[in-house]
Amino acid sequence: MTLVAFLFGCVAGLVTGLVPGIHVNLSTALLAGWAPALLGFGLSPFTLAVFIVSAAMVHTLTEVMPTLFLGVPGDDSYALLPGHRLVRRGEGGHALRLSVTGCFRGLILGLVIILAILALEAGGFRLLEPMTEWLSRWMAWLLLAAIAVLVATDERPAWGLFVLVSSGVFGLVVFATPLVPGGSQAPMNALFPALTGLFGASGLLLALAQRDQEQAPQELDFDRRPLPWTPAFLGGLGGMVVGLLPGLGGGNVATLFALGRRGEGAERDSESYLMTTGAINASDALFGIAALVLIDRARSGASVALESFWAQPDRLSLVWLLASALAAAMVTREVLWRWSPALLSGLNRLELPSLNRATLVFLSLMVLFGTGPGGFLVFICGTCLGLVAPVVGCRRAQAMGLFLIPTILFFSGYTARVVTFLGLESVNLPASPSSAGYLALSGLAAFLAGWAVYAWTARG
Amino acid sequence: MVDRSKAGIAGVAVLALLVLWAAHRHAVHSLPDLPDGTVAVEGVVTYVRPIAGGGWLVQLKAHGGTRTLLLSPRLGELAHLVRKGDVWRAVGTVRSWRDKSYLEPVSRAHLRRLAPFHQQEIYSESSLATLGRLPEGARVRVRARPASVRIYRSRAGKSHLVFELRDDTGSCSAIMWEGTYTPADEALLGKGVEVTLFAEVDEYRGKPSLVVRGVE
Repeated sequence: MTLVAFLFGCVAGLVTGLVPGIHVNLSTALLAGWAPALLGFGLSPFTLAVFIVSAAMVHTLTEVMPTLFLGVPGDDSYALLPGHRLVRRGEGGHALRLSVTGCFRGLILGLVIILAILALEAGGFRLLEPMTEWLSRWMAWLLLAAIAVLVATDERPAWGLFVLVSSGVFGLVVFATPLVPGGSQAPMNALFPALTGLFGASGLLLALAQRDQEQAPQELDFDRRPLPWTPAFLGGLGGMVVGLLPGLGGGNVATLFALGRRGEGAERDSESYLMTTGAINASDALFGIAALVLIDRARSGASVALESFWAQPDRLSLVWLLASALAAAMVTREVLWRWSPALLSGLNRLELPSLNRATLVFLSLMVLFGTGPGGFLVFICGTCLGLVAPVVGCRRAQAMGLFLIPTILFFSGYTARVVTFLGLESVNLPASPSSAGYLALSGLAAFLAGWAVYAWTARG
Repeated sequence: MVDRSKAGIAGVAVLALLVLWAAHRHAVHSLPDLPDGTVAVEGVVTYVRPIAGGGWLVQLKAHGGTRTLLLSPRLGELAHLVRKGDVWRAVGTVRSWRDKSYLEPVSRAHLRRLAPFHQQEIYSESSLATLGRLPEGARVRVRARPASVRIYRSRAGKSHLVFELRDDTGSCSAIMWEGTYTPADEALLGKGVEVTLFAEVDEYRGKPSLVVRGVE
């Protein structure tokens, strides 16, 4: 049964990874909603966890494909994104190889670090908890320094600050708002519509708004030139920071690393950025899951889903979950190496604007069915905020203020004062488990509506 | 000059945020007194302890035993008003974390002080000069000016708040044990203005002193 869960997880991760605008948290949140029913059928929490971990890992490796090949806008602000620079020159295969290699190496480094931590802990050396406790004393200052650098180095610092602060206020509203039924502990809580709006729907709307553009024919024969290890090594470490510590996102850390490598030339810069980002994402996904066992904290959508049905995963289970993550990554790498031309030609055969419209309809309906009218309001607000950065030309990663500002306030002890001043006191309502049948019907209805929109609007 | 389309999208985002804020406020204030799945607890505060991030752990001694309230900083500044000896009513959800169970109040409106600590016991009015004539453990209410307020760390690792008190009749030392004072108390005492103190008479180094239970 575990093998079946692994295979289903890989397929789910492949689908969510290849469809633009869909985050892996959607499938993990849905699964967390179905978890009570699935556990009732005799499935073990470990089996469900294998599904989530393999889906998260496959998604992390494949999400670069729609980003690179389906989301190449004509806008100047996007032209700065290193992967798109390569795709515009027709070197999509090289961009894909850089990203996947970065992911894989980041994953290997993350695995080595986690296994070393587990071995040390088994020997009586407790490393992580004292370190995170020490860091938590300085966390507010560290994060403040990071956002000061990120804003100061933005091409439009004033707009960057605006996006950061408004996303932060948005974060203060949505964490534990009564607008979304089920409370903050529900599998589909207010973070789902917030993140879907901020990063998913806004990107889809922008892609829909741009003029049609001819894409250069892509060279997908992967060359075998050796790639440097340094960006993946840095990314792996960056992913550890992002995965274990709250607040910072992968985009923030990748930008900080890119700032440190300025002046190495656009070519090296692009290659390093792609590898670093891939390594950060993979290592972040891995550490986000490991944090649940190592420091008893949920640090990612996948670990929040795991926590909702698995009270206390042990260290041995973590080792098996890491093994399933590695297996999922190896399978995905082989699939991408061998079948990326076929996958890309399949993606290219799809009508991109219709696919974007269909995904937008699917996401909107999932939000409406899963989180109600209040959640839909959060989604609309997130979408509006998510549009600001690309339109004004500042970094999209500034929208991570959603997590950064509340985290800084928490660690500095100013949350109570600020929420009272802004009238944003939150609510702790009991989690109301969604019915598995309702979630299944909602997912099916949203999928059918999206499919109907695609069929209606696609040419031919 | 700011491009119109840029200002326009920023304006729409701010407007959306304002609508969301208003909807959130309305939803918070229209919650029922006892939402489904919540429990109500009433009892005397026996311990108040700050936790990471500006939150508070408050122990309530209720009829059925003790219950620990977890007051998240997201509830706002109300948590700072909780004092040992107060009678509070909390409506919340029971959550367990690291093998302990806590009651998290639904919102700040679901956490209500029914009676302040000094209404639970009789405190007789006194001046600092008359403390020496009172027996140890006598409960007094004094008006005095605090000075030299500082945190004293005991060998056991506890942080107590120690200070001097002065009024027109004399002076004495005073202490608030860890778990009985809040930052609001610390800030009030730090101002150095005349305050009302509810305390028990004690002796320190052969002189009368006060173990302060609360400040107003």
